[in-house]
Amino acid sequence: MFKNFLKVAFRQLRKNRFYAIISISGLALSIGCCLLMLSYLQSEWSYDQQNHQPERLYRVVFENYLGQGKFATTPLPIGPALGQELPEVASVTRVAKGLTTLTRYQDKRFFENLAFIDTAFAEVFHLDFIEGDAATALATPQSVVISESYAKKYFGDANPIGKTLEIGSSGALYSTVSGVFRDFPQNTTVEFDLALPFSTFESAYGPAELWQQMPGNYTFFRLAEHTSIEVAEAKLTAFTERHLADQLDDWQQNYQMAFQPLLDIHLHSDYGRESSSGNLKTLYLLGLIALILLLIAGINYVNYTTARFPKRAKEVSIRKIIGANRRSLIGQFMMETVLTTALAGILAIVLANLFLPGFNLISGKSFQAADLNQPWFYASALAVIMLVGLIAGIFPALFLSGFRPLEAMKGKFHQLSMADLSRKGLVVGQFAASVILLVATLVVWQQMEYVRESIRPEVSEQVGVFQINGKLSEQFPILQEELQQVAGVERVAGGSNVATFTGDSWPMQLDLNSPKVQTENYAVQGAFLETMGYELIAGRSLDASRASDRNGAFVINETAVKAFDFPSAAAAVGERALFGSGKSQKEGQIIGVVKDFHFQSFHDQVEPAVIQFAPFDWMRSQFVAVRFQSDETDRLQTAVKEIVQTLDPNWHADLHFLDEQFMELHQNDLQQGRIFGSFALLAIFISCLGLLGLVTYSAEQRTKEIGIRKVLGASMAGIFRMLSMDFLRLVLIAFLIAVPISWYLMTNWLEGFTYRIDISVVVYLLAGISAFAIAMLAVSFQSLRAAVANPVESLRNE
Amino acid sequence: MIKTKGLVKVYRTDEVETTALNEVDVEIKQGEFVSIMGPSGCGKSTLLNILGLIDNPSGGEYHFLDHEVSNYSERQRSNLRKNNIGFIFQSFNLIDELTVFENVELPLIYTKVGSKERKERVDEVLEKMNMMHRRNHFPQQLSGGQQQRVAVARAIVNNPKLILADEPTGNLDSSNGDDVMKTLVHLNQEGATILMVTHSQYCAEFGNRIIRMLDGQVVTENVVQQYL
Repeated sequence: MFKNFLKVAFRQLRKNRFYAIISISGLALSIGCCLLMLSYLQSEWSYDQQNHQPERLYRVVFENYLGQGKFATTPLPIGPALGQELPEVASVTRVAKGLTTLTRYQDKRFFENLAFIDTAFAEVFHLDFIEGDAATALATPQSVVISESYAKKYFGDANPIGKTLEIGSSGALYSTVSGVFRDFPQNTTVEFDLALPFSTFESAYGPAELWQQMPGNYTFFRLAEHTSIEVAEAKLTAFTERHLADQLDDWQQNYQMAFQPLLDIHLHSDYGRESSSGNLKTLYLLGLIALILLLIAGINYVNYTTARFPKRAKEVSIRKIIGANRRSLIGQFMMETVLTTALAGILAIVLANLFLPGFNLISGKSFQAADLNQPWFYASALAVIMLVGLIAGIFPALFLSGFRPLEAMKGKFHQLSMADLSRKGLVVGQFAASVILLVATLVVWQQMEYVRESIRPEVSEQVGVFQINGKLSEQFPILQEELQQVAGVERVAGGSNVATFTGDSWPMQLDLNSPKVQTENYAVQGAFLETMGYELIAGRSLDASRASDRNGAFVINETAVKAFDFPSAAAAVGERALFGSGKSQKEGQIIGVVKDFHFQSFHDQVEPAVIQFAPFDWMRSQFVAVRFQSDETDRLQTAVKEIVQTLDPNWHADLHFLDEQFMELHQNDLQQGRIFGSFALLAIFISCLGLLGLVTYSAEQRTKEIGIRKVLGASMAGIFRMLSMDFLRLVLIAFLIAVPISWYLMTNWLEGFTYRIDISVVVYLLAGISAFAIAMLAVSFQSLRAAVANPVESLRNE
Repeated sequence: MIKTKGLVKVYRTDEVETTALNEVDVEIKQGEFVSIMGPSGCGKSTLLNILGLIDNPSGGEYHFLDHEVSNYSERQRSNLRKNNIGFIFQSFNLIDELTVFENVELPLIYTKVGSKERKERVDEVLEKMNMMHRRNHFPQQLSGGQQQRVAVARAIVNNPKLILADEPTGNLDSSNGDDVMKTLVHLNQEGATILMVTHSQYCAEFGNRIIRMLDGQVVTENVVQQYL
């Protein structure tokens, strides 16, 4: 019996090659994507699991930091203090990631994002040393540990231990490689390629004692055995009181720490300055899209099967008359489905491997074929195939096996109009899903364009930014002069900070008794506001020729005006204010208010900001911003490099464009856009495959009708219209269904942005027209064929 | 073997009610070869289908092999059918996706005959029908006469007590038609009961009794003078 089923199933596929190819390739595509999605989900869910007892690892976070809200970063002294004072904290490490720094070994020079870590890092996290020893590698300030791949990058095959890396340029640190560790796996929250001990940081910048300064530092600890996190948390209030009661009056309200489980960080964290890029929404979205794709391909299969009902019905009735019972017929049809899906599944595994590079591009992962070809992958492939086979097979199987033999034999199918209706319903569903994905793609794209446009000073202009060192900072006037000479350059300015490189947050207050407002600080040189294209709304800009401006003049942004409770921007101008705290405090006057400008992701609210000439001698420009005509990018790149090279041959200028930097901040959104885009294409493609199959079937079914109509005088155009319209009407209905759903979904998505577009009608028009045009393409080929056929042919077929 | 009393079949659509069989009483004994004749729409095929247990009557009694089957469920009818009845159709009704051998094998699969015995029995009956040389062909590769011979082989492979033939020669030329009729007569002589619907007086006379129908009723029954 089984053999017979299999044989018939194979022959059915062979006989209906066209439909078989359509449904198998559709299924293979969607199962393949589904498998890739599964590997993505698997990787995301397993974040940080490589650590020993990862559930005992925690991060110190702020529920409220100085009234500024939630932060994932912590002031530097907190980690060591917790380690000393709380017995529940078994070991603690800070991980501070700062600016990218020029790193050099002989002629190899790269900008690296280095990390400062405590010696206990390897007690908290899993760090697998290939060379050197976890306990001693970071014991001396002059040491550096590097990843395996970086060891290759700098030293090739030579033994890196004992080699010296020059980190920074003038006044560089000379650090000796004391350990090489295996690269962090992809799915880890804390990762770096180059780490220096915190002792280096302290010898360079002085002891880290400020409890009210927030650098880009994260504090992690391992909870001691036989205790619970609640016990540790209960001691936090007393801990804060011990250290801050004499510094901060409102410490109870405005200095609230908490412990966040490491395993919650990647997907569930909503703290400011988050380092991990996970996004639960993206995950759900991917899961949903995978399901939709499966559904669309499943629909194709069901349609393909039901379309052949009349033909199969005759076979069913013969089998029934000869003695088949319902169970054996269900078995037979299920076998056909399982066979189809199994073939699709095999193809899907091949496709998944083939699509891997593309998928990496879309998802931002870097999966290897070896990551895929794991037991879990094949197990899930099998599960998906079985599931799809079962779901797609059960309807046709139940339906076909339920025929009364005589009715089927005589071609009387009361149920067939039902099948026809449900088939149309399924096509509508497919296209609705495709249109929703299309709309999503367009909305994401528009929002990203909005981001891009918002940060350009003028449409035709760009701002380029590059990092400089202390030596170049001292020579800033010369550098500025030289850059101004380059054709296409409009303005040049320097700043301790520029948009997208945020992290220099300082307290500001109107007088010693008024509340502190945490403010993003821009210590600038030259016409910074004008270079960046920031618009003044009250007062005036900074003027380097005025001594008073050089010594205590602030331009604040609109948000700062509100944070200080000024009734209006104009009211703020002329007021006195204090910048910084303790010994590092400077008094000055607010001379202007600038319209809010973006310096973080568009998801985040703009924070208070202050722009001033450097208030302290040690505060220097770390960036140079160049505003220029956007068609001059290439020439500018070269010019900047040459100028910097002549001023400091040891430095290497790496020019970034501000809009690109902003796009970097929106990696997740761009990724979602890419996901939507690629899957929209795929969904449409599979839907069209299905549509093509249905039109072919419909033309076949209606051969006689078409023949008779033509004999009676129907024109080719008329026949073409008749066949096409039926299906295009379905696409129209699908569109109407997709509009409200996609509007709801994408409005929801956009709400994640503080600064966002409104969804325009154009998006729907575009999505609708493209879906319609593609469907038209699929439909017209077969319709045309039927329309031009000789009527005698079609009648003779009867 | 077959006995009906007051058999009624009514077809209903939304607007029309058609009486296909109206109080039909027939009796067919084991070993008979009965032909049913009558104009199109007289109900002869309906009768054949009900007697063949592929349709239920709307009223009346039907005794088949001493079972009152008029109210049997499809499952019960199916069981009775697959063990006792073989069908031959005007349009052959072979399954296109199966070879000659596989088509003939099918009834044996459904009655759960073991594969070795199946092979023997299929080969035996194909031999008998002179179709051995075509056993691996597909129906589309055969002539009409050959297809009907395969259909006959399929109908008899299970050694049914009753063979029902619905215009078995309707799609065949006269020489192939004659072959089929001779086969039926031969099967009858070997003990099978045969009930055949036909339009052709010539074919009908191969049987030993003719039932004539008109408007859903049996009008005459007469015995055929055997001349073969």
